[in-house]
Amino acid sequence: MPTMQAPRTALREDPTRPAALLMRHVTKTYDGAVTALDRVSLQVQYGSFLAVMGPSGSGKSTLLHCAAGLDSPTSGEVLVGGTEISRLNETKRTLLRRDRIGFVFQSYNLLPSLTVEENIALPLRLSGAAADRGWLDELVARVGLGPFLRRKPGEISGGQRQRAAIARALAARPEVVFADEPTGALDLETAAEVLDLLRGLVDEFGQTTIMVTHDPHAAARAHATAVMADGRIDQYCVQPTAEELARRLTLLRAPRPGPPLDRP
Amino acid sequence: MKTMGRRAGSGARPRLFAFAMARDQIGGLVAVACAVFGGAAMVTACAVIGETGLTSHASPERLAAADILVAARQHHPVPEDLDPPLRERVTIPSELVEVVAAVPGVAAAVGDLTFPASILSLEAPTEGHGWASAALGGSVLDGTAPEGPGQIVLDAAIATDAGLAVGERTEIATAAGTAEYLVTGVVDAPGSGVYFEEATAAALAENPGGEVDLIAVAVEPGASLADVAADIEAAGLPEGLIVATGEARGDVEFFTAAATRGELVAMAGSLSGTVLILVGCVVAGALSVSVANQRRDLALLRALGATPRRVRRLVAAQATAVAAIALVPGIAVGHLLAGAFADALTGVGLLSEALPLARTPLSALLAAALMLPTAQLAARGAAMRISRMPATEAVAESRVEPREPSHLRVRVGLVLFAAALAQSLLPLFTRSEAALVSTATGALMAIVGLALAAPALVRALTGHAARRLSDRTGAPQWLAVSNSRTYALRTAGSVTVLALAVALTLTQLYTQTTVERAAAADLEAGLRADATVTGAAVGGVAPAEIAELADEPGVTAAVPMTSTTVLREYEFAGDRWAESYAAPAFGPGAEQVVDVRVDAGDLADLAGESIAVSTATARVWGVDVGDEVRLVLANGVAVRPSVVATYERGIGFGSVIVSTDLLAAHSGARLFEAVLLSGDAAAATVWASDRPGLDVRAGPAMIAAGPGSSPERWINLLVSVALLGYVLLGVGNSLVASTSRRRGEFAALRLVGATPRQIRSMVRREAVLLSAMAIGAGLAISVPPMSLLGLGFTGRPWPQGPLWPMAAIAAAAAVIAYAATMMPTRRALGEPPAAVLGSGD
Repeated sequence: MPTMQAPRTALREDPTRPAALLMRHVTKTYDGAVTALDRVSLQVQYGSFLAVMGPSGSGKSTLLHCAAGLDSPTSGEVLVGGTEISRLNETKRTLLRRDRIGFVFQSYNLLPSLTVEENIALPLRLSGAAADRGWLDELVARVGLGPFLRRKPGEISGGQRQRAAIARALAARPEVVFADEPTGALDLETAAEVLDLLRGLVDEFGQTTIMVTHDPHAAARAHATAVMADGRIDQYCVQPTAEELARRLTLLRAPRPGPPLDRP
Repeated sequence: MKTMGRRAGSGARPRLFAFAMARDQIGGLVAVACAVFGGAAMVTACAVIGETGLTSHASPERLAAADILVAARQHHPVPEDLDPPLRERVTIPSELVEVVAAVPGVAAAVGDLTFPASILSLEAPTEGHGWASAALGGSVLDGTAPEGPGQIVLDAAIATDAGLAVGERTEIATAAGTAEYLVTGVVDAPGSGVYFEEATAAALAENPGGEVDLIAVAVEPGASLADVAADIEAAGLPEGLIVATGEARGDVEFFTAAATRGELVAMAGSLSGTVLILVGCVVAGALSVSVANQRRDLALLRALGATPRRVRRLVAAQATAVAAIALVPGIAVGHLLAGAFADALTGVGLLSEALPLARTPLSALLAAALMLPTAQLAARGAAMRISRMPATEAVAESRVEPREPSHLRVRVGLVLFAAALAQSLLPLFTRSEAALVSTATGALMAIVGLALAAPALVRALTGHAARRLSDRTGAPQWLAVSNSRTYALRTAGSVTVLALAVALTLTQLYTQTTVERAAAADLEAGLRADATVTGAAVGGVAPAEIAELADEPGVTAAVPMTSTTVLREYEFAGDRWAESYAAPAFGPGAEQVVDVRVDAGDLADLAGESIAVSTATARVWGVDVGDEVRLVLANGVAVRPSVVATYERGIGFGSVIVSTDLLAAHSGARLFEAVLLSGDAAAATVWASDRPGLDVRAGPAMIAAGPGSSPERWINLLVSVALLGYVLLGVGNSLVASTSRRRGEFAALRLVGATPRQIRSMVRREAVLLSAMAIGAGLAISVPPMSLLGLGFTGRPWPQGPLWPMAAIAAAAAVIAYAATMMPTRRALGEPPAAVLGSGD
């Protein structure tokens, strides 16, 4: 089982503390036929930044959905912060997601009717928790959205929207932030800024982050990268360079002609 | 979905799409089918009524034996408008009988007469005619023709019903009084009647100049019917006569049925205009649901290489196919609806029972010809934007509403509100038809004003609600207010349509009930008779009997009463117009039995060529006591009576009261609907006891002549309730559409941590907010004018009539808003949120 260890500088060691994410022999099949995940095991320690790469249909989105409690695996266990989530019902999973998990998507998914500030504070409002003003202010300042708090998502740029989405994901101080192609809709320069921000949040706040991406340059900003193929973690690279990742992906693709069926 | 595979290609993927699309869009297609079904039903019903008005003829019965009928037109010609029908027979000079008889090919020409003549023992009113018109057809006569004033021939059906045989004597009530006649024969003729010898008939018909009702013509054997008819037309008849052959003869015989036909066409015409606009809107709304549901699939089709045109054609083909399927039951239901509608029209006297409904394939064809292109066009319109968008954009289209409500729009809306309020003040100053019209147009203005000002109002209201939110407000409530506020335009659209439905229906209803109550109050206060004599079994009370009754000891006044219509001709903007008024007619002494609250003049002067006019109408007409007015009586005779009084109780008694003398001087024999008595009711009862056919009732009879009794109002109400249902269907559709489009928003909320329960709660609160605003606006628009109307017309400052419809329609609006938002929400929440976002929708 590949185990992700964060660099010493960012790690608050506590041997009694469970892993932020633990997946044990997780299998996911669709309609009893298509195997999207094939006995995947993965452990992510607190404060680390893991990238998940792989060709289309390699199972990386399914991995993210199962790990984040959006989908339940066919078999195997998923533990977030030591809590088993794979067998919970939808409402309990929602409550767990609300308290322990943050999401960042390629398409931002901000609510157009709310201001940037309201969007960021939304998870707290939904859980009924008292907003920690100090934390929110710090967060807003860190993502650099101070001047835009009163605007609606439609009135700011794509990069700013993604920053707002990142701030929202962190607002409830989740154990893990899952990012699904967070730079997929951004131009290169903006994408680099957003990746800087994600990495910075890991380094400064110790925010455990798992990011699915197809971009080797994005993956290279993580502490480690899991490369997936055919529903398994094929390779596991610690602090690889973008070039090395690109080469590994090419090798992975070359002998396997014909794209596997992509699942939503 | 077959069209889909054919049009998009035969590869595996398009067929896959087709399959998936069929499954996903069932909701949208059902909405389209419902809209088309309802639309087809209403269009068909209108078409049947309209076609009946255009082509339906009553078949001739009594006069079926005559080959040609010559009669006067039963319309008063008005150059710039529909000719109003004349409801009593327009007679023609008897000299014309000779003129027609002299036309070559005419075997016989008979002046036909119809007048009241009831056999007392039959206890049902019948009509009398001259013997010649029965003899025309060569019907089999058992016995001999009537030869003197005391002889009659009976129609076989009547003879059987009355148990009379040839040689027996019977009492017959006519306008000249009751007399005994000898039955000299029984004739087996179609229709029914009592036949008198010609001179007797002419005397009993009492036409002032000896006129005849119409001329029945028999054509010589071998002569061409068309030629003879043309020759008669060319024989120098005065203008305004019609020469009818074939089925058209029924229109002459049953002229009251024919008179309503023009009104049917006009009604069907104006109705179908409204119906078509509504149907267009609702079908377009339903299609936008359907297209919105397929948005992503259509974008993918575009990405696969389908041209925008092909995408539009696909959507249009789907819509047309669904419409064609929905048309069939729609048309069937439309025919049922037409039957029910016709019954309602017959019930209020707008459609004669003699007129069969025109149930031809034409109405079905018309419905198809209107609904299919409507569906096509609406589908193309709905698909226009999505089909033109680059495929990628179509998939990731932003759902932000950018527009701010424009200030001008809001200002115009507020001005309309003010104008509407001003209009609804009129009933405080005048109790009249004009005040009703003012209130009704005021309501319409207020609705337009609401449509304009609604976005700003919604923003202001939700803004107010938003300021009252605090950090402790629950998330669903907070989100609901934010959403309603941000999507003010979208919210306002639904609010406006729902408010419109509420306000229009309430306005229609309470105008009607308020006027009815006002009329009832007028009549209750105004009818002062001690007893009323009626003669339902013999068709009415004869003038001679009224004179007798007046001489009875104990009776101080016996005043005949009947109802009629008059047309007032006037010039406006250089053209001649005519307005029709239902009017009661009273005989001399009316001031002793009715109190119409005379304003000026004296009702005691209502005798001879005179009328009384309600104060409000006198103001509109610009006449005063002593002025002469140009009127046309119900039989087309132009008269110039003078105004002898003006009165206040015009809502109950009508705009015009006519002297019975005026009618007697210009029309033929007439029985009176009722005789109003002042004096001792018991004396009248004693008097009537040996006069079979007459009934005496203590107290006054209710008469119905004022605007409160106008049947068109109930028809309007009926129609607006039907349209209301259809409008609610449309609102439901568009709410389902806008809620279905929020799948992405719901999914994003769930990923941020909202439970399905919180989302349902949010949507529920939005629906409550929406219906509260809609019901509030609807009541705000309709209740104040209706209260002013109540105050002005009845002195009670609230809507007059049952209050439950207010609650019922508010409940209907709330249920629609609730169901149309909650159902798609539940459906959307059934999908895993990641799948929704992953699908890019």
